[in-house]
Amino acid sequence: MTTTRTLILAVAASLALPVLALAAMIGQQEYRAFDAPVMQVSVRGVDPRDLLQGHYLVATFDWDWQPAPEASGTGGLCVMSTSGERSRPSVRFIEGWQPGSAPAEGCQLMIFGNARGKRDGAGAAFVPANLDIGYFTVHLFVSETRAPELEDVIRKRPDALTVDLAVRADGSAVVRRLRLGGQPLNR
Amino acid sequence: MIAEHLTRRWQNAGLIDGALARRIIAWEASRRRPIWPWALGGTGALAIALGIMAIVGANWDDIPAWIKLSVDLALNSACAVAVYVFWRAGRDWLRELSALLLFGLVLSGIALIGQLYQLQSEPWNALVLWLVLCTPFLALTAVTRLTGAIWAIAVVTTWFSAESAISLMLGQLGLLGWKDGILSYLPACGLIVAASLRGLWPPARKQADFLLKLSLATLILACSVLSAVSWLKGGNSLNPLGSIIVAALATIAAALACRFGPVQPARLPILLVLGASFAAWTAGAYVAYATGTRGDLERALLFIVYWMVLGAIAAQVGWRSLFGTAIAAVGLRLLVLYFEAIGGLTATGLGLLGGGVLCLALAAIGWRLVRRITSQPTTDTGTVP
Repeated sequence: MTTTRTLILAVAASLALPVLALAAMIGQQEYRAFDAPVMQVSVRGVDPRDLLQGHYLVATFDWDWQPAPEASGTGGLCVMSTSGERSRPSVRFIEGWQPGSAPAEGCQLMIFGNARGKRDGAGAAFVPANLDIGYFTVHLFVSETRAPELEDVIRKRPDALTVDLAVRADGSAVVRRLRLGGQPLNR
Repeated sequence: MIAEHLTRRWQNAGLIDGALARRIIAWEASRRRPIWPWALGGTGALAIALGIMAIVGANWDDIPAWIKLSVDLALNSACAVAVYVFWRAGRDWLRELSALLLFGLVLSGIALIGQLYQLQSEPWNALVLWLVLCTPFLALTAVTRLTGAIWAIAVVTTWFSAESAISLMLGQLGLLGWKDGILSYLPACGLIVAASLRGLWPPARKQADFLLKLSLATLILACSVLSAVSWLKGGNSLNPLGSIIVAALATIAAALACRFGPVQPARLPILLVLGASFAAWTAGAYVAYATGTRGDLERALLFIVYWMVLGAIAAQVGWRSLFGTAIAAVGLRLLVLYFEAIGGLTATGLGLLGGGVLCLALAAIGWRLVRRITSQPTTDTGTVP
């Protein structure tokens, strides 16, 4: 194979691409959570008979609604207090709020996402738009070694599992860590 | 052992003389290498690798995230450097193996980042990213058939993992009339185009030829399954015309890629196979949802006609393996047809007798025809399958 200078450069660039891309992905995630306020939010398994799907816990956030939204919609979740009882931040939903808008009055943080109204069947729910995988749920990775213990604890103490949620100024949210009974699940 | 056995056989048949047989056997013996050190060494290396993986797995939660990410990036970097060094040094197999290792490591890196940062996305997003990041270095550094096959499998896996997203897109475009058909047909045509483009680069010509064979086999398999199986799932009232137009465009793209691709001798037969496959696929769209005995018969007839056409093309150009497969496929389908059409124990027994006789007859006819193809001088159009 004749190796011209262009070919050598192309091969070097093609080999650097995946390594640089992986490094950029890590950098992007660290940047997204850097300096963002973090709050603990309780999560609950969606189906108590089938908590874990493979390596993932299919969960929904457990908010302390003040009050719960009547109808479903897209907008901002106004976090009024992050120190609610048992990691349930006090929240209300402001329909139509858009990222970049000023926080509503009395709100410590604003999260942009999708809400389900309490009239729409399964009760009120809210999930940040960038974490929504459908049906107002998130997939949380759980390692195989901790899965049986985790499943058992969640069945006995449904509010034992919490996540550290970093909320950025643009209204997006990043899951930083899972906690079981307040202790980090992994380092 | 095998070489010695074959040499003796050729000697007994009078094809080679005793002196030549002895020279062949002596040459083979001089190149013989004991397998047991490799087997033992390989087993040891595998045990060490599994042991490391088990220890890491058992302590996975106790390893800080930054160490996991650092080790992953270091492994990816080291592997990328290894590919480059082996590529520059002309160490072909080491280059191919390290490229494949990097291919796997990049996927594991994407998965690791997804797990540690709890990223929320469908698995196909990660697979698409994986292919986007890896296809350039695989295209430039990996030219063996093995790598080509693994890349093709990765592409097809990614395609089918995105089934729900593709179906959503097809629905928005009004092309859901023959969804199962289009989902299977498009990747085969896409692979044919990719194989033709790959063949434009001379060092990868052999890989491209292999990819072309693989994609044609995928196309034939897809059309066979689609025309043989009933896809009735609560009925289908959607018009398949939109899907047929998309499939026609994909077929034209594949045909043009073959026609104007790199010089390869079996161009016309490949175009004929493409045409026959598109015809079978299109007919499949209309009989896939037919019900009852009539539906079974229509599908069986379509399958048999499709394979007879393939057999005829193979016979014309001397593709023995495809011709033999066609004979076997037609025979098996006829046998299945007996099961589908006849009920009751006595009737099934009679059906089995009839089907068995039919298969024996087909085997005899096929054997004669295959021998005739074998005895014909090989034409310059018969090199692909």
